[in-house]
Amino acid sequence: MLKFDFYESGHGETTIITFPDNGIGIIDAYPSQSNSRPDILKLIENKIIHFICLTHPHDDHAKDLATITNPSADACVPVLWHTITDIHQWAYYSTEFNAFPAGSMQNAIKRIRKETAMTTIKLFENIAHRNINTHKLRNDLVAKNIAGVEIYCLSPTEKVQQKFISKEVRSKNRFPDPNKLSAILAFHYGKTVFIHGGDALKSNWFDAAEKFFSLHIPNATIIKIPHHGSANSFSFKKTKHQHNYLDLCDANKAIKSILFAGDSTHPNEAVYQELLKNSTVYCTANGLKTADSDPLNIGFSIPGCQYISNSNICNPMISFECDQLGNINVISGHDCSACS
Amino acid sequence: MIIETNSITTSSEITINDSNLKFQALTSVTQATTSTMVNDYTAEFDKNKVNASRHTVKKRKVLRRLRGFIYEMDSNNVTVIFIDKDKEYRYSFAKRILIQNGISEKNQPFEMDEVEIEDENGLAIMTEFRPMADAKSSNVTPFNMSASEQKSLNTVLKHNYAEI
Repeated sequence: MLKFDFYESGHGETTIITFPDNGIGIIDAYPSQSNSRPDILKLIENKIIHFICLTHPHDDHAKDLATITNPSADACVPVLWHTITDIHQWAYYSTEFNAFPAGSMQNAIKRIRKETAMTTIKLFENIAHRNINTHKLRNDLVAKNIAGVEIYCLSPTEKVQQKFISKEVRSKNRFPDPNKLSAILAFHYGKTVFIHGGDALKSNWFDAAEKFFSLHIPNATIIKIPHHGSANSFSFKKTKHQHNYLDLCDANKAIKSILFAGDSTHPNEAVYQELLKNSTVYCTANGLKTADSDPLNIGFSIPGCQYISNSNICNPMISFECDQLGNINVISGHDCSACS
Repeated sequence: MIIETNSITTSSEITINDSNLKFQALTSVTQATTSTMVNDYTAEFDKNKVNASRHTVKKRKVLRRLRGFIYEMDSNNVTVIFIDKDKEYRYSFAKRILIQNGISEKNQPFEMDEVEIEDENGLAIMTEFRPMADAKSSNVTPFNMSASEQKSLNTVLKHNYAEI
Protein backbone atom coordinates (compact mmCIF):
# COMPACT_ATOMS: atom_id res chain seq x y z
CA MET A 1 0.00 0.00 0.00
CA LEU A 2 1.03 3.58 -0.66
CA LYS A 3 -0.30 6.19 1.76
CA PHE A 4 -0.51 9.94 1.46
CA ASP A 5 -1.05 12.16 4.51
CA PHE A 6 -1.65 15.87 4.10
CA TYR A 7 -1.64 17.99 7.25
CA GLU A 8 -3.14 21.41 7.86
CA SER A 9 -0.11 23.68 8.20
CA GLY A 10 -1.34 27.26 8.45
CA HIS A 11 -0.22 29.13 5.35
CA GLY A 12 2.37 26.38 4.67
CA GLU A 13 2.24 22.72 3.71
CA THR A 14 3.13 19.30 5.09
CA THR A 15 2.89 16.06 3.09
CA ILE A 16 4.04 12.67 4.35
CA ILE A 17 4.13 9.67 2.02
CA THR A 18 4.29 6.17 3.48
CA PHE A 19 5.79 3.70 1.02
CA PRO A 20 4.90 -0.02 0.76
CA ASP A 21 7.93 -0.85 2.95
CA ASN A 22 6.57 1.49 5.67
CA GLY A 23 9.40 3.97 5.13
CA ILE A 24 8.36 7.58 4.66
CA GLY A 25 9.14 10.58 2.49
CA ILE A 26 8.40 14.09 3.73
CA ILE A 27 7.62 16.77 1.18
CA ASP A 28 7.77 20.25 2.71
CA ALA A 29 6.77 20.82 6.31
CA TYR A 30 5.38 23.80 8.17
CA PRO A 31 3.70 23.89 11.58
CA SER A 32 0.03 24.63 12.06
CA GLN A 33 -0.54 27.92 13.87
CA SER A 34 -3.67 26.44 15.47
CA ASN A 35 -1.84 23.27 16.53
CA SER A 36 -4.20 21.13 14.45
CA ARG A 37 -1.14 19.33 13.09
CA PRO A 38 0.84 17.36 15.67
CA ASP A 39 4.47 18.26 16.23
CA ILE A 40 6.49 17.15 13.22
CA LEU A 41 8.87 15.10 15.35
CA LYS A 42 5.89 13.17 16.77
CA LEU A 43 4.61 12.49 13.25
CA ILE A 44 7.87 10.90 12.16
CA GLU A 45 8.77 9.22 15.44
CA ASN A 46 10.17 5.68 14.97
CA LYS A 47 9.76 5.91 11.19
CA ILE A 48 12.41 5.12 8.62
CA ILE A 49 12.87 8.19 6.47
CA HIS A 50 13.71 7.64 2.80
CA PHE A 51 14.03 11.33 2.00
CA ILE A 52 12.90 14.80 2.89
CA CYS A 53 12.09 17.17 0.05
CA LEU A 54 12.12 20.95 -0.09
CA THR A 55 10.10 21.67 -3.23
CA HIS A 56 11.41 25.24 -3.35
CA PRO A 57 13.20 27.61 -0.97
CA HIS A 58 10.27 29.38 0.68
CA ASP A 59 9.90 29.39 4.45
CA ASP A 60 6.27 28.16 4.37
CA HIS A 61 7.64 24.90 2.95
CA ALA A 62 10.96 24.76 4.78
CA LYS A 63 10.40 25.65 8.42
CA ASP A 64 9.72 22.18 9.83
CA LEU A 65 12.27 20.49 7.57
CA ALA A 66 14.75 22.51 9.65
CA THR A 67 13.13 21.04 12.77
CA ILE A 68 13.50 17.49 11.44
CA THR A 69 17.15 17.99 10.54
CA ASN A 70 18.06 19.82 13.74
CA PRO A 71 21.05 18.05 15.32
CA SER A 72 19.12 17.74 18.59
CA ALA A 73 16.29 15.86 16.87
CA ASP A 74 16.33 12.10 16.79
CA ALA A 75 15.36 11.70 13.15
CA CYS A 76 17.76 9.92 10.81
CA VAL A 77 17.58 11.74 7.48
CA PRO A 78 19.56 10.14 4.64
CA VAL A 79 19.01 12.78 1.97
CA LEU A 80 17.48 16.16 1.24
CA TRP A 81 15.91 16.58 -2.18
CA HIS A 82 15.85 20.17 -3.37
CA THR A 83 15.88 22.29 -6.53
CA ILE A 84 18.29 25.08 -5.60
CA THR A 85 20.80 25.62 -8.37
CA ASP A 86 23.68 26.64 -6.14
CA ILE A 87 23.23 26.38 -2.36
CA HIS A 88 26.18 28.66 -1.54
CA GLN A 89 25.01 31.37 -3.86
CA TRP A 90 21.46 31.07 -2.61
CA ALA A 91 22.52 31.38 1.02
CA TYR A 92 24.79 34.32 0.34
CA TYR A 93 22.29 36.32 -1.65
CA SER A 94 19.39 35.57 0.65
CA THR A 95 21.18 37.51 3.40
CA GLU A 96 21.08 40.62 1.27
CA PHE A 97 18.08 42.65 0.28
CA ASN A 98 17.18 45.66 -1.82
CA ALA A 99 17.17 48.47 0.69
CA PHE A 100 15.48 51.79 0.04
CA PRO A 101 16.29 55.01 1.87
CA ALA A 102 13.17 54.60 3.95
CA GLY A 103 13.97 55.87 7.39
CA SER A 104 11.77 54.31 10.01
CA MET A 105 10.47 51.60 7.66
CA GLN A 106 13.94 50.22 7.06
CA ASN A 107 14.17 48.25 10.28
CA ALA A 108 10.82 46.57 9.82
CA ILE A 109 11.65 45.55 6.24
CA LYS A 110 15.02 44.20 7.30
CA ARG A 111 13.59 42.19 10.19
CA ILE A 112 10.83 40.59 8.09
CA ARG A 113 13.17 39.74 5.22
CA LYS A 114 15.78 38.32 7.57
CA GLU A 115 13.30 36.05 9.36
CA THR A 116 12.28 34.53 6.02
CA ALA A 117 15.84 34.08 4.78
CA MET A 118 17.11 32.51 7.99
CA THR A 119 14.61 29.62 7.79
CA THR A 120 16.23 28.21 4.67
CA ILE A 121 19.72 28.97 5.92
CA LYS A 122 18.93 27.13 9.16
CA LEU A 123 17.84 24.08 7.14
CA PHE A 124 21.06 24.02 5.14
CA GLU A 125 23.12 24.66 8.27
CA ASN A 126 21.55 21.51 9.79
CA ILE A 127 22.23 19.57 6.61
CA ALA A 128 25.88 20.65 6.86
CA HIS A 129 26.20 19.87 10.58
CA ARG A 130 24.83 16.38 10.12
CA ASN A 131 26.54 15.76 6.79
CA ILE A 132 23.26 14.80 5.18
CA ASN A 133 23.42 14.04 1.47
CA THR A 134 21.62 16.26 -0.99
CA HIS A 135 19.96 15.42 -4.26
CA LYS A 136 19.24 18.19 -6.74
CA LEU A 137 15.97 17.54 -8.55
CA ARG A 138 15.75 18.30 -12.26
CA ASN A 139 13.28 17.09 -14.83
CA ASP A 140 15.78 15.30 -17.08
CA LEU A 141 16.98 12.93 -14.36
CA VAL A 142 15.99 9.27 -14.36
CA ALA A 143 13.23 8.08 -12.06
CA LYS A 144 14.01 6.96 -8.52
CA ASN A 145 12.49 3.74 -7.22
CA ILE A 146 11.57 3.48 -3.57
CA ALA A 147 9.92 0.22 -2.46
CA GLY A 148 8.34 -0.33 -5.87
CA VAL A 149 7.17 3.27 -6.31
CA GLU A 150 8.67 5.10 -9.29
CA ILE A 151 9.27 8.78 -8.57
CA TYR A 152 9.66 11.14 -11.51
CA CYS A 153 10.70 14.77 -11.33
CA LEU A 154 8.62 16.68 -13.90
CA SER A 155 9.92 20.16 -13.10
CA PRO A 156 12.00 22.35 -12.93
CA THR A 157 14.06 22.12 -16.10
CA GLU A 158 17.77 22.84 -16.08
CA LYS A 159 17.05 25.96 -18.14
CA VAL A 160 14.84 27.36 -15.38
CA GLN A 161 17.44 26.52 -12.73
CA GLN A 162 20.15 28.29 -14.69
CA LYS A 163 18.17 31.54 -14.58
CA PHE A 164 18.84 31.63 -10.85
CA ILE A 165 22.58 31.88 -11.34
CA SER A 166 22.52 34.27 -14.29
CA LYS A 167 24.70 37.36 -14.56
CA GLU A 168 21.73 39.58 -13.75
CA VAL A 169 21.10 37.79 -10.49
CA ARG A 170 24.72 38.11 -9.51
CA SER A 171 24.93 41.79 -10.34
CA LYS A 172 21.58 42.99 -9.01
CA ASN A 173 20.58 40.37 -6.46
CA ARG A 174 17.32 39.88 -8.32
CA PHE A 175 16.22 36.30 -8.23
CA PRO A 176 13.31 35.24 -10.39
CA ASP A 177 10.25 34.13 -8.42
CA PRO A 178 11.47 31.13 -6.34
CA ASN A 179 8.15 29.40 -7.05
CA LYS A 180 9.55 28.85 -10.56
CA LEU A 181 12.07 26.52 -8.96
CA SER A 182 9.33 24.40 -7.49
CA ALA A 183 9.62 20.66 -7.90
CA ILE A 184 6.75 18.77 -9.47
CA LEU A 185 6.94 15.11 -8.53
CA ALA A 186 4.94 12.17 -9.91
CA PHE A 187 4.63 8.98 -7.83
CA HIS A 188 3.76 5.93 -9.94
CA TYR A 189 2.61 2.77 -8.16
CA GLY A 190 0.85 0.29 -10.46
CA LYS A 191 -2.25 2.07 -11.70
CA THR A 192 -2.00 4.79 -9.06
CA VAL A 193 -0.31 8.06 -9.93
CA PHE A 194 -0.04 10.95 -7.50
CA ILE A 195 1.32 14.34 -8.53
CA HIS A 196 2.72 16.75 -5.96
CA GLY A 197 2.66 20.20 -7.53
CA GLY A 198 4.70 22.13 -4.95
CA ASP A 199 4.12 25.82 -5.66
CA ALA A 200 4.80 25.43 -9.39
CA LEU A 201 3.63 28.23 -11.65
CA LYS A 202 1.87 28.10 -15.04
CA SER A 203 5.03 27.90 -17.11
CA ASN A 204 6.39 25.04 -14.97
CA TRP A 205 3.33 23.01 -15.90
CA PHE A 206 3.98 23.44 -19.63
CA ASP A 207 7.37 21.73 -19.11
CA ALA A 208 5.94 19.20 -16.68
CA ALA A 209 3.20 18.15 -19.10
CA GLU A 210 5.71 17.60 -21.88
CA LYS A 211 7.80 15.36 -19.63
CA PHE A 212 4.78 13.58 -18.15
CA PHE A 213 3.29 12.66 -21.53
CA SER A 214 6.66 11.29 -22.66
CA LEU A 215 6.69 8.85 -19.73
CA HIS A 216 3.59 6.96 -20.89
CA ILE A 217 2.40 6.32 -17.36
CA PRO A 218 -1.29 6.48 -16.36
CA ASN A 219 -2.75 9.92 -15.73
CA ALA A 220 -2.90 10.99 -12.12
CA THR A 221 -5.87 10.30 -9.89
CA ILE A 222 -4.55 12.31 -6.95
CA ILE A 223 -2.98 15.74 -7.18
CA LYS A 224 -1.68 18.20 -4.61
CA ILE A 225 -2.81 21.52 -6.07
CA PRO A 226 0.13 23.89 -6.61
CA HIS A 227 0.59 27.27 -4.99
CA HIS A 228 -2.46 27.13 -2.75
CA GLY A 229 -4.83 27.27 -5.75
CA SER A 230 -3.64 30.64 -6.99
CA ALA A 231 -4.35 32.05 -10.44
CA ASN A 232 -0.68 32.26 -11.41
CA SER A 233 -0.30 28.50 -11.34
CA PHE A 234 -3.31 27.59 -13.48
CA SER A 235 -3.51 28.25 -17.20
CA PHE A 236 -7.02 28.96 -18.46
CA LYS A 237 -5.78 29.78 -21.98
CA LYS A 238 -5.10 26.38 -23.34
CA THR A 239 -3.24 26.20 -26.61
CA LYS A 240 -1.40 23.13 -27.76
CA HIS A 241 1.46 23.71 -25.32
CA GLN A 242 -0.31 25.59 -22.56
CA HIS A 243 -1.30 22.66 -20.42
CA ASN A 244 -2.50 23.08 -16.88
CA TYR A 245 -2.15 20.50 -14.13
CA LEU A 246 -5.61 19.04 -14.67
CA ASP A 247 -4.42 17.87 -18.12
CA LEU A 248 -2.10 15.47 -16.32
CA CYS A 249 -5.03 13.95 -14.43
CA ASP A 250 -7.39 11.20 -15.49
CA ALA A 251 -10.52 12.86 -16.84
CA ASN A 252 -12.47 9.60 -16.79
CA LYS A 253 -11.87 8.79 -13.15
CA ALA A 254 -12.74 10.59 -9.95
CA ILE A 255 -9.72 12.79 -9.41
CA LYS A 256 -8.96 13.74 -5.85
CA SER A 257 -7.32 17.12 -5.46
CA ILE A 258 -5.78 18.36 -2.24
CA LEU A 259 -5.77 22.05 -1.54
CA PHE A 260 -3.62 23.83 1.04
CA ALA A 261 -5.26 27.25 0.99
CA GLY A 262 -4.21 28.44 4.41
CA ASP A 263 -4.80 32.16 4.05
CA SER A 264 -7.77 34.33 3.23
CA THR A 265 -6.53 35.19 -0.29
CA HIS A 266 -6.38 31.57 -1.46
CA PRO A 267 -7.57 29.81 -3.52
CA ASN A 268 -8.46 31.93 -6.52
CA GLU A 269 -12.23 31.71 -6.97
CA ALA A 270 -12.09 30.82 -10.70
CA VAL A 271 -9.42 28.16 -10.14
CA TYR A 272 -11.44 26.70 -7.29
CA GLN A 273 -14.53 26.45 -9.53
CA GLU A 274 -12.44 24.59 -12.14
CA LEU A 275 -11.24 22.21 -9.45
CA LEU A 276 -14.77 21.56 -8.23
CA LYS A 277 -15.89 20.93 -11.82
CA ASN A 278 -13.10 18.47 -12.58
CA SER A 279 -12.23 16.79 -9.32
CA THR A 280 -13.28 15.98 -5.79
CA VAL A 281 -11.63 18.69 -3.73
CA TYR A 282 -10.27 18.09 -0.24
CA CYS A 283 -9.04 21.22 1.56
CA THR A 284 -6.89 21.39 4.65
CA ALA A 285 -8.03 25.02 4.79
CA ASN A 286 -9.84 27.24 2.34
CA GLY A 287 -9.74 31.04 2.35
CA LEU A 288 -12.98 31.26 0.36
CA LYS A 289 -14.74 29.74 3.34
CA THR A 290 -13.24 32.26 5.74
CA ALA A 291 -15.12 35.39 6.76
CA ASP A 292 -13.43 38.55 5.53
CA SER A 293 -11.79 40.72 8.12
CA ASP A 294 -10.11 44.08 7.78
CA PRO A 295 -8.29 45.19 10.94
CA LEU A 296 -7.06 48.46 9.43
CA ASN A 297 -10.46 49.17 7.87
CA ILE A 298 -9.00 50.09 4.48
CA GLY A 299 -10.60 47.49 2.24
CA PHE A 300 -13.55 49.71 1.36
CA SER A 301 -11.41 52.30 -0.35
CA ILE A 302 -9.04 50.09 -2.36
CA PRO A 303 -10.65 48.02 -5.12
CA GLY A 304 -10.24 44.28 -4.58
CA CYS A 305 -8.26 44.76 -1.37
CA GLN A 306 -8.15 41.78 0.98
CA TYR A 307 -6.62 41.37 4.40
CA ILE A 308 -4.41 38.28 4.54
CA SER A 309 -5.32 36.21 7.58
CA ASN A 310 -5.33 32.53 8.40
CA SER A 311 -8.11 30.49 6.80
CA ASN A 312 -10.57 28.44 8.78
CA ILE A 313 -9.50 24.82 8.97
CA CYS A 314 -11.49 22.36 6.84
CA ASN A 315 -9.54 19.14 7.52
CA PRO A 316 -6.71 18.89 10.08
CA MET A 317 -5.57 15.84 8.12
CA ILE A 318 -6.43 14.29 4.78
CA SER A 319 -5.29 10.74 4.26
CA PHE A 320 -5.55 8.35 1.31
CA GLU A 321 -4.39 4.77 0.97
CA CYS A 322 -3.83 3.42 -2.54
CA ASP A 323 -3.10 0.03 -4.01
CA GLN A 324 -1.45 -0.99 -7.27
CA LEU A 325 -4.82 -1.50 -8.95
CA GLY A 326 -5.60 2.17 -8.63
CA ASN A 327 -8.09 1.87 -5.76
CA ILE A 328 -8.08 4.83 -3.41
CA ASN A 329 -9.35 4.49 0.12
CA VAL A 330 -10.10 7.76 1.93
CA ILE A 331 -8.96 7.19 5.50
CA SER A 332 -9.33 10.70 6.83
CA GLY A 333 -10.89 13.93 5.65
CA HIS A 334 -14.04 15.06 3.88
CA ASP A 335 -14.40 16.73 0.51
CA CYS A 336 -15.92 20.13 -0.22
CA SER A 337 -19.37 18.68 -0.90
CA ALA A 338 -19.65 18.14 2.85
CA CYS A 339 -19.35 21.90 3.39
CA SER A 340 -22.32 24.16 2.87
CA MET B 1 -8.80 72.03 -11.98
CA ILE B 2 -7.73 72.92 -8.48
CA ILE B 3 -6.20 70.20 -6.43
CA GLU B 4 -4.91 71.02 -3.01
CA THR B 5 -2.49 68.25 -2.50
CA ASN B 6 0.93 67.62 -1.12
CA SER B 7 1.29 64.40 -3.06
CA ILE B 8 3.84 63.89 -5.79
CA THR B 9 3.06 65.37 -9.18
CA THR B 10 3.96 62.73 -11.67
CA SER B 11 1.54 62.35 -14.56
CA SER B 12 0.40 58.99 -13.27
CA GLU B 13 -0.44 60.48 -9.90
CA ILE B 14 -2.55 63.14 -11.52
CA THR B 15 -4.44 60.50 -13.44
CA ILE B 16 -5.29 58.75 -10.21
CA ASN B 17 -6.40 61.97 -8.59
CA ASP B 18 -8.53 62.72 -11.59
CA SER B 19 -10.28 59.43 -11.29
CA ASN B 20 -10.75 60.05 -7.60
CA LEU B 21 -12.40 63.32 -8.40
CA LYS B 22 -14.70 61.66 -10.85
CA PHE B 23 -15.52 59.25 -8.13
CA GLN B 24 -16.59 62.14 -5.95
CA ALA B 25 -18.84 63.39 -8.66
CA LEU B 26 -20.54 60.08 -8.97
CA THR B 27 -21.42 59.69 -5.36
CA SER B 28 -23.20 61.77 -2.87
CA VAL B 29 -20.86 61.00 -0.10
CA THR B 30 -21.02 59.90 3.45
CA GLN B 31 -19.23 57.04 5.21
CA ALA B 32 -22.56 55.24 5.36
CA THR B 33 -22.68 54.77 1.56
CA THR B 34 -19.51 52.73 1.50
CA SER B 35 -20.68 49.88 -0.69
CA THR B 36 -21.96 52.14 -3.46
CA MET B 37 -18.77 54.11 -3.32
CA VAL B 38 -16.62 51.06 -3.79
CA ASN B 39 -18.51 49.92 -6.84
CA ASP B 40 -18.46 53.26 -8.58
CA TYR B 41 -14.85 53.82 -7.67
CA THR B 42 -13.80 50.46 -9.05
CA ALA B 43 -15.58 51.04 -12.33
CA GLU B 44 -14.10 54.47 -12.83
CA PHE B 45 -10.68 53.31 -11.74
CA ASP B 46 -10.76 50.66 -14.43
CA LYS B 47 -12.03 52.93 -17.19
CA ASN B 48 -9.55 55.62 -16.29
CA LYS B 49 -11.33 58.03 -18.64
CA VAL B 50 -12.10 60.98 -16.50
CA ASN B 51 -12.70 64.63 -16.95
CA ALA B 52 -12.68 66.23 -13.57
CA SER B 53 -12.03 69.79 -14.59
CA ARG B 54 -15.50 70.99 -13.67
CA HIS B 55 -15.14 69.93 -10.04
CA THR B 56 -13.51 72.14 -7.49
CA VAL B 57 -12.03 70.79 -4.33
CA LYS B 58 -13.09 73.03 -1.48
CA LYS B 59 -11.42 71.18 1.33
CA ARG B 60 -8.92 68.40 1.67
CA LYS B 61 -8.10 66.75 4.96
CA VAL B 62 -5.80 63.81 5.68
CA LEU B 63 -7.70 61.58 8.08
CA ARG B 64 -5.10 58.87 8.50
CA ARG B 65 -1.66 57.98 7.19
CA LEU B 66 -0.39 54.40 6.99
CA ARG B 67 3.03 53.23 6.00
CA GLY B 68 3.86 49.98 4.29
CA PHE B 69 6.07 48.28 1.77
CA ILE B 70 5.80 45.78 -1.07
CA TYR B 71 6.38 42.29 0.21
CA GLU B 72 5.61 40.16 -2.84
CA MET B 73 4.35 40.65 -6.36
CA ASP B 74 3.02 38.35 -9.03
CA SER B 75 1.79 39.21 -12.50
CA ASN B 76 -1.42 40.85 -11.25
CA ASN B 77 -1.40 41.22 -7.51
CA VAL B 78 0.77 42.65 -4.83
CA THR B 79 1.12 41.67 -1.19
CA VAL B 80 1.94 44.63 1.00
CA ILE B 81 2.74 44.85 4.67
CA PHE B 82 1.41 47.85 6.55
CA ILE B 83 3.09 48.68 9.83
CA ASP B 84 0.71 50.35 12.25
CA LYS B 85 1.64 50.88 15.90
CA ASP B 86 4.48 48.38 15.53
CA LYS B 87 2.11 45.68 14.27
CA GLU B 88 2.24 44.11 10.81
CA TYR B 89 -0.83 43.77 8.61
CA ARG B 90 -0.67 41.95 5.28
CA TYR B 91 -3.01 42.98 2.49
CA SER B 92 -3.35 41.93 -1.12
CA PHE B 93 -4.72 44.00 -4.00
CA ALA B 94 -4.17 44.77 -7.69
CA LYS B 95 -0.56 45.65 -8.49
CA ARG B 96 -1.52 48.42 -10.91
CA ILE B 97 -2.90 50.54 -8.05
CA LEU B 98 0.64 50.96 -6.73
CA ILE B 99 2.46 50.96 -10.05
CA GLN B 100 0.40 53.92 -11.30
CA ASN B 101 1.74 55.82 -8.31
CA GLY B 102 5.40 54.99 -8.89
CA ILE B 103 5.50 52.14 -6.37
CA SER B 104 6.74 49.12 -8.23
CA GLU B 105 9.67 47.43 -6.50
CA LYS B 106 9.90 44.73 -3.87
CA ASN B 107 10.65 46.33 -0.46
CA GLN B 108 9.79 49.80 -1.77
CA PRO B 109 8.16 51.71 1.09
CA PHE B 110 5.13 53.89 0.58
CA GLU B 111 2.59 55.98 2.43
CA MET B 112 -1.11 55.63 2.08
CA ASP B 113 -3.25 58.59 3.05
CA GLU B 114 -6.91 58.33 3.74
CA VAL B 115 -8.17 61.69 2.63
CA GLU B 116 -11.48 63.45 3.04
CA ILE B 117 -12.25 65.69 0.10
CA GLU B 118 -15.14 68.09 -0.16
CA ASP B 119 -16.45 69.58 -3.37
CA GLU B 120 -19.81 70.86 -4.60
CA ASN B 121 -21.20 67.30 -4.59
CA GLY B 122 -20.37 66.64 -0.97
CA LEU B 123 -17.76 64.71 0.93
CA ALA B 124 -15.69 61.80 -0.31
CA ILE B 125 -13.18 59.64 1.48
CA MET B 126 -10.45 58.21 -0.71
CA THR B 127 -6.95 56.82 -0.56
CA GLU B 128 -3.77 58.22 -2.05
CA PHE B 129 -0.53 56.29 -2.44
CA ARG B 130 2.85 57.95 -2.42
CA PRO B 131 6.30 56.33 -2.64
CA MET B 132 8.59 57.06 0.31
CA ALA B 133 11.60 56.36 -1.89
CA ASP B 134 12.09 56.36 -5.62
CA ALA B 135 11.69 52.98 -7.31
CA LYS B 136 15.27 53.18 -8.61
CA SER B 137 16.88 54.28 -5.36
CA SER B 138 17.50 50.87 -3.83
CA ASN B 139 20.89 49.41 -2.97
CA VAL B 140 21.76 45.80 -2.32
CA THR B 141 22.47 45.75 1.41
CA PRO B 142 23.41 42.88 3.72
CA PHE B 143 21.36 42.20 6.83
CA ASN B 144 22.89 43.03 10.18
CA MET B 145 23.31 39.51 11.41
CA SER B 146 23.76 38.40 14.98
CA ALA B 147 26.82 36.31 15.82
CA SER B 148 24.80 33.09 15.73
CA GLU B 149 23.16 34.01 12.42
CA GLN B 150 26.53 34.82 10.92
CA LYS B 151 27.81 31.48 12.18
CA SER B 152 24.90 29.70 10.50
CA LEU B 153 25.64 31.44 7.22
CA ASN B 154 29.35 30.68 7.44
CA THR B 155 28.61 27.01 8.07
CA VAL B 156 26.48 26.87 4.92
CA LEU B 157 29.02 28.76 2.81
CA LYS B 158 31.95 26.61 3.91
CA HIS B 159 30.27 23.22 3.66
CA ASN B 160 30.82 21.02 0.67
CA TYR B 161 27.38 19.48 0.17
CA ALA B 162 27.53 15.88 -0.93
CA GLU B 163 25.35 15.37 -3.98
CA ILE B 164 23.88 11.93 -4.72
